[in-house]
Amino acid sequence: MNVVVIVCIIVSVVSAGLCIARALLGPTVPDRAIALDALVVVLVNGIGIMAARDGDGLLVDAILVIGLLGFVATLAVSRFTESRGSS
Amino acid sequence: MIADIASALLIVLGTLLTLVAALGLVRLPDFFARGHAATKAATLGLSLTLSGAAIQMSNRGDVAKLALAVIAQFLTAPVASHLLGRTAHRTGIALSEHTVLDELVDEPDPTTVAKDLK
Amino acid sequence: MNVPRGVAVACYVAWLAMWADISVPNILSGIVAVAVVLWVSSALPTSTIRHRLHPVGLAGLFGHFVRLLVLSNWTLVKTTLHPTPTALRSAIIAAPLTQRSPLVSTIVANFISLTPGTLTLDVRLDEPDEPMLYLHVLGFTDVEAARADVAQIERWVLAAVTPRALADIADGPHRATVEGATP
Repeated sequence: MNVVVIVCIIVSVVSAGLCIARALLGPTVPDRAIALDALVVVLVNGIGIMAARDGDGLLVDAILVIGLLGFVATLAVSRFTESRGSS
Repeated sequence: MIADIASALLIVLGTLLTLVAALGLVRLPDFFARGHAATKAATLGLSLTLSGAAIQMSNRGDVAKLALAVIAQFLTAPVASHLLGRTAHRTGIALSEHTVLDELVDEPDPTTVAKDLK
Repeated sequence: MNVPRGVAVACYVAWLAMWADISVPNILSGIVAVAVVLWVSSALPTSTIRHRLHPVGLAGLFGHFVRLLVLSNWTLVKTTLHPTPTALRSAIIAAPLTQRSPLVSTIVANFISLTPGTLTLDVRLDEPDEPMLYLHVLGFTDVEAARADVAQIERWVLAAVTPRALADIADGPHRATVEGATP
């Protein structure tokens, strides 16, 4: 189990790096917004791996809250962009 | 033992799918294609990982919380991509050169046009 | 409060799942919390269309959903790893819907976003125009195929969650006819 956890955490770090790359590169604001939304999902994925390793429910509340807040943040960026333009 | 193997398999699959989502974000040519990757692959990948984690939970209540997180992700990810996609099209985002047809005619959103941020 | 029972029940179950503990304080505080949420959200626009739930249709919809979700991720993995021009050929198309119920349209829109090659962009249900769903297709072949996919998904959803007007029509011509509804 520990080997699996280490490999998956490394893969998650690589995924997070790719999402951040798109957030920095993405020529428009919606590109960056969706990259950050995906980053939150990768983050929750990483927390889920750690929760599976420990087997106790300490991190599960964090999973719920961060997942939902990530969505709310994406909504806020979308409404903001719509009223400002996505240059 | 079986639970550990099943759990490990689900987590590996889920993490690989989120890697594919991130790869798609970087490789695909325009915003809408990246939206496809971020919505579908990230949602299923996260759900697989959380299912693998749910198998490992010792407390039944935590399984319910993880199930709630999975359902929340399924409900919210398409909505987020829908809103961002609509915003992007309305503000005239560049479509990739592979795009063949565009039938969407934007109408101004009455709730944002009236508001003028001074 | 003009909210269907299903919404209140779903909120209550979500409250209990979040606390992960079915005890007397949680049961009572759940009632208070759901009442507060419904009262606050009563300021949002609601729809007056009521629906009937069909368990068999719901099970079928869920089955199609799981199959299409796995298939969509499989095509997405292939497209991401081998981005060929045919795989990346995209289009934004307009697909007509057959009814104006917000609940059915929302389920169809969410379903479409998780099926192979399609992503919902806009849903327009306003009165004078035909109800329309706009979607972005990745791996585009032709317009009619995509519109047929949308129509099929809408049929599956209507088999699971039917607006009352259509359900009354389907139950037989001896029931009272509803103005403006077409069978």
